[in-house]
Amino acid sequence: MLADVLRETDRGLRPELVAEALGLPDEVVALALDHAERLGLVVRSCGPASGRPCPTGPDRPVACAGCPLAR
Amino acid sequence: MSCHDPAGAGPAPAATLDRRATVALVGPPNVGKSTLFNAATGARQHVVNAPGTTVELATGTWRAADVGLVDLPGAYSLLARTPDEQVTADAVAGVGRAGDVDLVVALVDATAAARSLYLVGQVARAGKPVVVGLTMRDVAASRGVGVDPDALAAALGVPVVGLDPRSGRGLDELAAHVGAAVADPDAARVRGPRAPAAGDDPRLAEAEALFGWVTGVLEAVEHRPAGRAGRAVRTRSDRVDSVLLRPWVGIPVLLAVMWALFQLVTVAAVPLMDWVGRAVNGWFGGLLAGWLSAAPAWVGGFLVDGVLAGAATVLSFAPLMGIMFVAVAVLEDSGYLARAAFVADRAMRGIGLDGRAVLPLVVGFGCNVPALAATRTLPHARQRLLTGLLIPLTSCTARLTVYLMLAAVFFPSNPGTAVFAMYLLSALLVVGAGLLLRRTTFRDLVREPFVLALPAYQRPRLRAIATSTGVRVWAFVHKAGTIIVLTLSAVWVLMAVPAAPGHAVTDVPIEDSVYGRVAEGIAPVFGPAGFADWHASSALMTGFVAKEVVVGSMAQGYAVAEPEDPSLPGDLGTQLRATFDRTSGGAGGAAAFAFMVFVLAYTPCLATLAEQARLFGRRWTAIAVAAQLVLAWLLSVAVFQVGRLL
Repeated sequence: MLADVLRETDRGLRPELVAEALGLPDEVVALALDHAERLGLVVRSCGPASGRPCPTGPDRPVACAGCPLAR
Repeated sequence: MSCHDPAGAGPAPAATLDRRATVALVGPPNVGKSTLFNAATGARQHVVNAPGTTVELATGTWRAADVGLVDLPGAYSLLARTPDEQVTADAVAGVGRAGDVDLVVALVDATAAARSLYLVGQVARAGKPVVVGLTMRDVAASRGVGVDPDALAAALGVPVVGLDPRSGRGLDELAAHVGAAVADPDAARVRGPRAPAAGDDPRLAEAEALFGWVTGVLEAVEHRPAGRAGRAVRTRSDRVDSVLLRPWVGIPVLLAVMWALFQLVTVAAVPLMDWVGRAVNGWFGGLLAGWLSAAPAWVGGFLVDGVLAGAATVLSFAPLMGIMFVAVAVLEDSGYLARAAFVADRAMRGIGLDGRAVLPLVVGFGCNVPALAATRTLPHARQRLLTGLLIPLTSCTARLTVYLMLAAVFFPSNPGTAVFAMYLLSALLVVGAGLLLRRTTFRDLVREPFVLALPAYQRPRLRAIATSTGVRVWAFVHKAGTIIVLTLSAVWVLMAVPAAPGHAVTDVPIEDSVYGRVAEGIAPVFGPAGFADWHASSALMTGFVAKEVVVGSMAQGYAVAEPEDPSLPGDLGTQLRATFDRTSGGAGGAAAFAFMVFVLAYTPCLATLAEQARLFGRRWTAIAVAAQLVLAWLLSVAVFQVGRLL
């Protein structure tokens, strides 16, 4: 199941669309992604496009490296 | 009875529980663990820090099950991401200094069963026997979601008890199952995830087995309404949130709640504090002085003006702490605190804190002591510590008396602007120190977990709140009180012992006492800040105990009457003007402003210090005191050196 979620995530789908594609509850997909994040397998997206605020502090996600707004 | 040991000072929780079996409560945050713990143990509980950490643990005796009970920190996963989760993971694994547990009571939240089952699966893989408590069934039912306890018991192979920790329903049945499981642990082994087959990545294989098990159990026990992937129905809480979480409603409501809290810790609490202080110092002090009239003067002086004055300080804070604990518990229990965190989150993230930090930081502008107590609402120990280090930089109302007096003397045309500048500087210091700490000592602070569900609105349970408030107030009186009484007694001794000939013990002017000599000795340190005078340094030393007495200490030093209204300083103002003009080479205004800045930035009071030590341990408290003294000195020197040029 986790492999399926990661495969769909790798296609660029947001968690709710992953849930729809796999026929799983949103909660289970979010849980799987949280677990994967704890294992270091995925990095949480952030910024205006995702609806989540950008992180602060020195430990920014790798995904922020190319952002012109990242200091 | 209760106690609360600072980090590293307390025994391992398991060791505090006699020889009874140790049962740990495990579950995600907001599942009702602490409510269940309070209902099970009543007042027979202790609050300690997990050894070597600042993570708070409650331990107690559950008589109905004849076991020791440990309320482990809420955890979303045993793959720990925070110190709190690490304590839970270590306890379940039976490693670390938090002690081992014999049985786990895992609480499953019916509104978020997948997340709870995920944790149960991890506990099962750790090999611990488990009894399951199923909570939040009423809230889940209101969303159209049903979780059948019998089906869950059949799927897991362990006892499952439907619980309502708020009313205590199901508690007796749970106690019976826990007692039986302790006697026969093999009957409480979860049919959990199977050991994964060897693969390329054992972590992935383990996760596949875990999630396969979670989805399998979920399909067997959870009933959701028809719809895409079982989307839940809209509840009353959802409807309220659709309005309350909009910025144009949420922010004014949050401000109103903060204003009410501020009023509680200032306007409402002050008469109570005064009454307790008068009762202890006045009424009981008079009685004690009468009883000791035959004893030598120093005995009466030490006991009445030293020890009893310290006890009065501690007891006068007790109502304030009680009010704060009740207010925080009501906000937390009703579900509003999570909404406040949501609304304030963006602003607080600017300094790397959770939105819940807004509450203690705002309360800090009323009084730092209850503000420190309010840090318990923050989810992680490191966030509590960071917030606890920032709180002393919020300018409490006790400091206002000093600002008012000096502003009236040195800035008579713009006293309001001078006082406002202090509050502005206080806010800037909080933000600046937060950013600095976040980028240095607190680089490890992590963001909230991926999923943060807002709990449903509920009616607060007054009985449970009263119990937990009583336990926490006692912990403050017992632990912080010891430090306060000892320190105030030591201050009395320093003030009573003469350092010059011709004076008797207890009958010595301050400047000729040991205290006065110490003040005189450290006065040159403040030369670069423009106030190298023993009156000023003596007032700062007294202010270390409490800022309320700074003005009185200055008046005592100059042997003039203490002004009734600090904004009308009278003779004291004249004396201060002369002193500051002399020590600053004519730049008295700059020196006075530097003094105000020092008062703002250094240690707020002894009670704050004692509470910090109680919550975060002596090491962090010592670091905080040293850092604040250095910060205060640097700021006041900078202010004076720039100010004298203007």
